[in-house]
Amino acid sequence: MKIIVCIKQIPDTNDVKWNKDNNIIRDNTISVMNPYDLSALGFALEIKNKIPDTTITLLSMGPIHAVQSVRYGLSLGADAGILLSDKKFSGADTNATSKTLSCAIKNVLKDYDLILTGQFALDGDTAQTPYSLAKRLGLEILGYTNEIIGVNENEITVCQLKDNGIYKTKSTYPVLVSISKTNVKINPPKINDYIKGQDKEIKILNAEDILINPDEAGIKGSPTYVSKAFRPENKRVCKFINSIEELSGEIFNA
Amino acid sequence: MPEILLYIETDRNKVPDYVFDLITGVNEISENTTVSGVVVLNNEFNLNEEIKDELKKYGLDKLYVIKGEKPFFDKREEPSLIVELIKKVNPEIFLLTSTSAGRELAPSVASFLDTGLTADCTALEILNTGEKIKLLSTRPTFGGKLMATILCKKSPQMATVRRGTFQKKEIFKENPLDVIYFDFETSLNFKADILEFVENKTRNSAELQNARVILAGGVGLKNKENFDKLKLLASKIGAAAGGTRKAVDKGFIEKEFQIGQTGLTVTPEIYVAFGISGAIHHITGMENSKKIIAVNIDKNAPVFNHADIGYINDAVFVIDELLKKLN
Repeated sequence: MKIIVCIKQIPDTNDVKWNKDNNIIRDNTISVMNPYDLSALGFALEIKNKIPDTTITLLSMGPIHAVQSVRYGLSLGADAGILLSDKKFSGADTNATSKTLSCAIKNVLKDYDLILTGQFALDGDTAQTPYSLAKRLGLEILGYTNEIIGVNENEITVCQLKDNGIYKTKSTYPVLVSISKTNVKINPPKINDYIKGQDKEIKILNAEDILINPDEAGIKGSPTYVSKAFRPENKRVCKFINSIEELSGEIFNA
Repeated sequence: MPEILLYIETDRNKVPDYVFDLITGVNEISENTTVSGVVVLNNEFNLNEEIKDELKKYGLDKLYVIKGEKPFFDKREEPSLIVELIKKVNPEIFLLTSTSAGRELAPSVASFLDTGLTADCTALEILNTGEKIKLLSTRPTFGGKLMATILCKKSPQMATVRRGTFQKKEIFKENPLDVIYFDFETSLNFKADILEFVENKTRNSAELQNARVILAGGVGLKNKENFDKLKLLASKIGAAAGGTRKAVDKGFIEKEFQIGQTGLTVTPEIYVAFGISGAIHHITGMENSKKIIAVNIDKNAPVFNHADIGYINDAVFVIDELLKKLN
């Protein structure tokens, strides 16, 4: 089976610092793989365990240092990695991002059975890219998937957890599954896995390589734009109390 | 007049309150526009007079009704039906509530139409310059550390709006609700089969969102038994219980009770955080509560920066003591 896992490298949102113009200070910030994408990779690795001749290709878009997350994914057991990195891709909204990813999948990867993505990314939290990507590839999407119940060479059965209930859904390939769970167990890489990961190939591709019209990518290809950014004000001042009595008064007598 | 189209989400045979909130909200932030809605009928949802009256009462001018083929829980045909409608009526703006259904529908519609979409907004502004209207959507990013106001160059300008952003209110309108039926040919076949649907009958998340008092727990509560105590305490005082993403991940409390960035946003009168450190992802889901009380053993926990009242003590001990007081 051929699986593509889409991953995004994000700044650790508990560690983000800003300058006074509200731009992120990128120096010294810690970058991590979006936890929902890491879970998607975890599910892919489980499938690879069950179906041995499975290959997992990681696909990411971002600045060149995002190669770290791809490399990390390879040390966890993915087979190959592609990073789409080009100045022309920068400033992309979800519309341009999904177009860029879809061009790489259609024109470079071509052959696949299953695409796994995270449902959300912790930095932007739009949850839009998986749906746009599915639409552009003409695929159905099994969104809000929190469990893969069954999988074989021909079909996949998942459990989707939505506001109104739980869906058990089965689909043949190709299909896109987006994962809404963050704590899928993955064995942490051992030193040997890191070494193996170093030997695996990461392709770095630009706009020309994936045959995208540069006007459709990045900031140019994005219908939305940020007109202003500001820091939310925190107006609360905490008054400390010292006894259960005071606390119960605040809660029970309100 | 420029038209603002709203997605009228249905839940079984009802229109949930957050839909009325959005209708009222859009009326409050715009002038000289037509506020219209689109609803897809299914085997459970039928449009009766009562629902029409309610839609009008909270400010809807016009309703487009499309007949769907799928059962109520299967909303997969809705994107293409709504795209057909949008192509016919050309609204300037299309807004949805950011429920899981809204957040699945919106990006599919936006990519069909190749337009822009802003996710999970917490404030909207509409500028009306006569013929053209501009949507300014504000949303939290980076886990709520930065707010961004986003505009869209293409039409329709689309956004999903977080529950709790607006409150429904009666709005007097002279004209009756204009109801227009559409019949679109859909020969949509889906490869995926929904084998089973288990309805979330308790609607715990709805209860949580309507609660006046919420008691929420974090990993400081240590285990599921302590969360059960928290739930017991909540039920004894007529409050609702919730938890953080980390508590949900550890299996202490069910996903439907999750409050925060990738869970529910709540705005109760009183929010009590037990053993919650105050990660920004959680704060963003509760920061608009009227009064926030935090109980944490760690006096440096960031949650105290977002609280009105703080109590430094072990959250589990405090819950036990509060339960004793009630008995």
